[in-house]
Amino acid sequence: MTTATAIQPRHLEVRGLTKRYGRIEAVDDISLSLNGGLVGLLGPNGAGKTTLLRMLATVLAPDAGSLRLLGLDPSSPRHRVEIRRNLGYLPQSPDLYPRFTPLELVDYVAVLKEHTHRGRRQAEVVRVLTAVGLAGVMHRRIRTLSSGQQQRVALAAALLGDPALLVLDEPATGLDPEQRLELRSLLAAGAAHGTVVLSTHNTAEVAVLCPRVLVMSGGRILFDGTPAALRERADGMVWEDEVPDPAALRSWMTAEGRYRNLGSPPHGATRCAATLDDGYILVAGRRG
Amino acid sequence: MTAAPALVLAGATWPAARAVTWAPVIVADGALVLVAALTRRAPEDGTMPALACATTAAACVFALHDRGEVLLAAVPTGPMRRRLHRLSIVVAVAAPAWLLMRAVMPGIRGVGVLPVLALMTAGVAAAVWAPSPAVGGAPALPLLWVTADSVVSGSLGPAGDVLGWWRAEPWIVLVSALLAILAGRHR
Repeated sequence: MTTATAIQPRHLEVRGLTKRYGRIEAVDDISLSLNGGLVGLLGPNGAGKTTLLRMLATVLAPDAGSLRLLGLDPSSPRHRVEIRRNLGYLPQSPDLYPRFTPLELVDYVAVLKEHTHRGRRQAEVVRVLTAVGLAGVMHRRIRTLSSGQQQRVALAAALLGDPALLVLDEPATGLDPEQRLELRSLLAAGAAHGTVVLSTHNTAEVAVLCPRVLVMSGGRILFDGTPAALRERADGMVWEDEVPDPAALRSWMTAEGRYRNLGSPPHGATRCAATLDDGYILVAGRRG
Repeated sequence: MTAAPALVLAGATWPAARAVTWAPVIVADGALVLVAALTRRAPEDGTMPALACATTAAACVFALHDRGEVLLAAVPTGPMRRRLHRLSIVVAVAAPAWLLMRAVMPGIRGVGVLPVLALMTAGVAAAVWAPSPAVGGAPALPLLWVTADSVVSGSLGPAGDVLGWWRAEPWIVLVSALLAILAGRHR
């Protein structure tokens, strides 16, 4: 048996974090501090969200900067193991073993997460599979499950042991609306006693779930605040017209066949109430 | 919760063995037995033992690829420990299989387990050190090595002797590859 290092469940601190792939700076000098709760990470594809999450999950070492996760330093092998004992990580579209059942796969992950007491481990495996709504299919082969169910198997593995830090890369991918509602409850429960960081493309998800939202683009954090503050960024900057406005930063056709324009509205334009999507597009689109 | 690594790996042995892709090992060994049976009257020129070693080693390295590696990336049981565990499972199955093959294939009767282990460990070291996009090519290393030994080693003079180390001095290859694997344990 090894001696466990004391952790601070709600402490996450990032200073000057940088990760390069060749000449591309996937994450560029990011600093942030989290004190528990649910934090949503929004950004276009290639914004650096997955790279940032992989560093927060101790899977990828930064090229520069420092990280404190749960009050520990992941660059120290001993601390990294201790962090991982208290970490749940859902990677983006992970491969599963198709011949395993959900029960077998999550049990295997539980063993590797050092849940060595057979009885307690099996109870925990059943608990997380039930929590993600897979109790009815836990004995079926994974290859026979839908992509949404497979995603929930991976989510169940991340939830094992009620981790103090949950890092989830697009957890709602492949889930139907009812499953998304269940996911919201699970994440809210996780945030009650620790820190949950999730990336998503779904602004509605962020609005409902996250008191705090980060918008990333080009490897940098361009916004850090509440969903309401993100929406307010677009207040007075949205207008609709019969045609796209060439002066607008972005224009797109609505279901009603009109054009929604985002930017500095021309004189006499009919302004609309801004949405979270408008705020996000305004923030994320400005850099690129 | 903390637990001794040996206890964790003991509990993980059966699921880890089930997670191994055994098909290449079975197919490669089956094909070799078939070829040996079909060519048993042909004069032996050393090709069959070399081919058998390289194919078995390559199949074992391929079997080490873990499709669940991304899912398991952040568990406390680290990737190097998991890989070595997987390697020990594959060797525990492949070594008796090799001895069985030796019994049924007279052409490789004189070839020990060590050359196969040397080639396989070299393939694993290549997988540990290769850049991410090239990791999938690591199982080809034993085949390329043995092919190079057969085709070009004679024309390289003393330097060509190094290519023959996998059969002439397998322990050198084995120890070097193990050191390379250990050096890359944090990769």
